[in-house]
Amino acid sequence: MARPIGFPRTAPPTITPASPCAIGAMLSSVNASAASGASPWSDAANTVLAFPFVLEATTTIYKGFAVTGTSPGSNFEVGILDADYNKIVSSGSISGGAVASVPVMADLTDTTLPPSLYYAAMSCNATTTGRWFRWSPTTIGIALWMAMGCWKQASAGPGSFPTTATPADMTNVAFPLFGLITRSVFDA
Amino acid sequence: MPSSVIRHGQGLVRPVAYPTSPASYRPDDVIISGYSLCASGVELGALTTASATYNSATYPATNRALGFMFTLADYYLVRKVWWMNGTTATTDSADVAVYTEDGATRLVAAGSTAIATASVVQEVDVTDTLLAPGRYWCVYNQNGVTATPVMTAHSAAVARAAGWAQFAGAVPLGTTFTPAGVAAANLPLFGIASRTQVA
Repeated sequence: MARPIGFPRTAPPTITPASPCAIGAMLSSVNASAASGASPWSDAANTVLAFPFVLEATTTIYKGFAVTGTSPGSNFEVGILDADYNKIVSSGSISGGAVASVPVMADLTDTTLPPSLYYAAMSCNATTTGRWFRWSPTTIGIALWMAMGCWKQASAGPGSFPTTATPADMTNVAFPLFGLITRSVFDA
Repeated sequence: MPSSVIRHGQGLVRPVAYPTSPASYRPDDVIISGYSLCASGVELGALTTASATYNSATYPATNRALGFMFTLADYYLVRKVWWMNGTTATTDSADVAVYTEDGATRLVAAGSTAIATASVVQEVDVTDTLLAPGRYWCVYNQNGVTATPVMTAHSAAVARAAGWAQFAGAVPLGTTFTPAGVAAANLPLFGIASRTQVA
């Protein structure tokens, strides 16, 4: 039977750095893992950290989220930028809550995105150790993140998400576990 | 040159005006589990090191149905469902079912099946069911914690970030699935197959 050449694959229900449409394959290949850990998620408060993802099919984004560590708190913001670093949508400043090791939701205006390259970004107003689940591949180093297309922008904390970001090289080996929700019935 | 043109040239942007390129087409796996590429396999691998190996372990709770979401890029004929028994495979019964993305419709299920034979892939024949491209839930439940299925010790936070969910289920599984956040570690190894022999 002749096989059709296929359809664009629907995005996964959650888009995080670990997703196959983001940098998950590369993270997996270097045996990275995410945990609360004993070092901060970032080297400076109010730093935006972003990872690239590619949509094969038109996809609606309903929410953003970040996964808390063992010492939750502070405020955070999640947003989406296009391939030219222009903001498409962001959550505004959201309380990180007080519950450890759970995804904290950051509601976004429902936003339908066509197939393309995008960036998901997050900022937080504190660097407290244990604030967020994060990867910290110290044996590989900061260059790993840049080799996967990640970047940072300083001085753009929750509530001040950049209209057009100015990407810079990362300066910290950690990267937080955050992402986007693409299903409407249930988030995570 | 506009940056969007450059990105197309770099292959970073799919040319949406054209059919999906055969060169980028990848058929769905013949056997799908939560650890498949079209499910949460990449996510779980990227979130947890290889130390999260498969082990026979105590099921988190009686009638705690656990499910993963998978995405099909092509039509997929479900012929069997299956799960992997651990070192104790007695007393309890299990079920595996596929639901629509909204959880409102159960599309195919094994029905109540006695867990039997330790350390094997237990497979159950189901009514052949053709799934269209899209997203679905695949759900496992067992009605006790005597049987110790093969599971991975991914934390609840990791499971949730990777798209898994749970709900208070029954064996056999009901006609609808109302997902909630995963509350405890350990994800069982189970799934569907499009061939008549799983293993």
